[in-house]
Amino acid sequence: MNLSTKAPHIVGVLLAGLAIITLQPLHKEMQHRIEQQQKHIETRQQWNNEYQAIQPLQMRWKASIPPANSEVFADQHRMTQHIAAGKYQLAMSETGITLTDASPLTHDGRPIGIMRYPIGNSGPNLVLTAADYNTAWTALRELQERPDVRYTRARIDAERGSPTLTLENFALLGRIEP
Amino acid sequence: MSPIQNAINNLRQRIAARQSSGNHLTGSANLAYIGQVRDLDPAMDTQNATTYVILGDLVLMAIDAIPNIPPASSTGLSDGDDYIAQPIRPSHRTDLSLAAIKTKPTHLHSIIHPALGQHINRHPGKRYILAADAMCKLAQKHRHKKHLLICNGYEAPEHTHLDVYQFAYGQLISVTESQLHETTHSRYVADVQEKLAKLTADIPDAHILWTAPLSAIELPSFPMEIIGPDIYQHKFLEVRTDGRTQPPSPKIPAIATILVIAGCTGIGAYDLQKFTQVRTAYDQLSQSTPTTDLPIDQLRTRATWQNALDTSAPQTTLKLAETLMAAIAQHPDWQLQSLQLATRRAGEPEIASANTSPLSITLLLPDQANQTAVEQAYQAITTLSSVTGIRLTVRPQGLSTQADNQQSKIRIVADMEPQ
Repeated sequence: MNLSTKAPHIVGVLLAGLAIITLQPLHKEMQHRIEQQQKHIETRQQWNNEYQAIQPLQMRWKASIPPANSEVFADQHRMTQHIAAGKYQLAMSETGITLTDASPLTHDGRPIGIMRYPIGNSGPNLVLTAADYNTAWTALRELQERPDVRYTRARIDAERGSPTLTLENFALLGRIEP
Repeated sequence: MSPIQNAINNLRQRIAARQSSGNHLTGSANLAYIGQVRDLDPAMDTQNATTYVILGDLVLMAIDAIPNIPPASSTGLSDGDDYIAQPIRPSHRTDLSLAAIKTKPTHLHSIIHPALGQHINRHPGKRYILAADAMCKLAQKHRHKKHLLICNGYEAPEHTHLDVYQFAYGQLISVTESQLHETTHSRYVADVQEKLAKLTADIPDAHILWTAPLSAIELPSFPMEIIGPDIYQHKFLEVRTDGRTQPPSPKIPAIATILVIAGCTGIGAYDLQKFTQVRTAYDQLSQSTPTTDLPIDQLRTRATWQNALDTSAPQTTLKLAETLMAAIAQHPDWQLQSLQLATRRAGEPEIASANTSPLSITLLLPDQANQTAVEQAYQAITTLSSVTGIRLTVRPQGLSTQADNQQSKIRIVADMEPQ
């Protein structure tokens, strides 16, 4: 058998060898990529599930807490309006209002995307006046339900004249949304 | 040295070589040459060779044509004994060089003497190869040469059979078979010279190879390369006795190759399909859910924070305060002067405060002259505690008396004990 009759064999074996040599790492690479992609799918599925679970809360936040960059926090007047003391039949002295720099709220040392805007008309505290004790109590109960305001303690004083509702370390909240 | 002396030396050398081999079948231990009918049986009897190279009178060759069978009178064969056709050899180049493309493919047809076929059938287990295959293989080494002549042949005692293969760029273009005088004859060198002169008339620049089993010869006018018997030490197609002219098809390797390539392609296609499928699944998953502006861990923190808010104390503190207020209202002469609630909730900045109690009250009650203030305060707080179930304690220095509208009153500041 001379070289010319051998040639198809040689070419065939070479082709087969070439196919194996080139496709084998390619096959490995593909397997690897498929595996990775499957992991991605798994991660994404978990993410989706978690996201779906969190979604109602997000909607609640969006409905109840104004964005940090909104006009609500533009100036003292608008912030006062946002507190809406009148809604609770409370009077609020607008003299001596102090605003402190906003700071982000954290939970367990991690940011939660909330800015705190402290506002007070008696130092850090907000003092509101009610016509009677019941009005003050009802207002406190309603304020407790508001997700966009925070204070550390509430005090109702009925010692003399109209009862006052003092909200210590009062702050408005704004959500940071990119 | 004169040409005549040269020729004499040549002759002497060849006679010496012939005598030392002791047999007209020459070759190395496992190789022997069969060049005429007369060799057939004695060859097998005296040689232990495993491979036999067939050449000389036993093979007839032609390019792209069936070889002419000599008339029966000259071969002495009867009608039933026909020459046996051998597989057709592609004697052209299969590489992709320009020369290979330019040259027309040729095929070497060959037939063997029927006596050889019978002989082969009588001696199974031995290999029989055609010298022509070795020539074609040898030519491939010189395939870059435009003109190549390979001289091969068989030295019988009565005559010399000379085959001259002509190649152009490794492709066989002609085979010239001729009968010369025996090598010991004084005419032999002249015969060779005459033959070569004829063949190189049109191609004076041809490269000439002189191959075994022909004994080495030196011709000053024809410089040539002497090639030993090693050229037969390769795997060649064996001589067939069944008359088949089709070269053995490379079916099995071809099928194996196709299977391997198909397998690889299949695996590759499967991988690709699987990958695409996974990719599509991921894309669909990505599209099916809304995107978020915030990183998921921030959302997660938010959720836990909100949970903490929803389940934290202030709501219960409010309820406690209401219970307490209701209890105080049962005593018309008691007066709730101040109520303080802790409303700090999860995530709120920790602000230092003197009062850490969740609930504090300032109570004003009328001073009964028959009891001490401490007793009265103790009684009132105990009553409230037992009625409401809230554990209240009087704050240190939380007790005082004051005059209000000409009536003496006791002022009690009490804190709920932190739970």
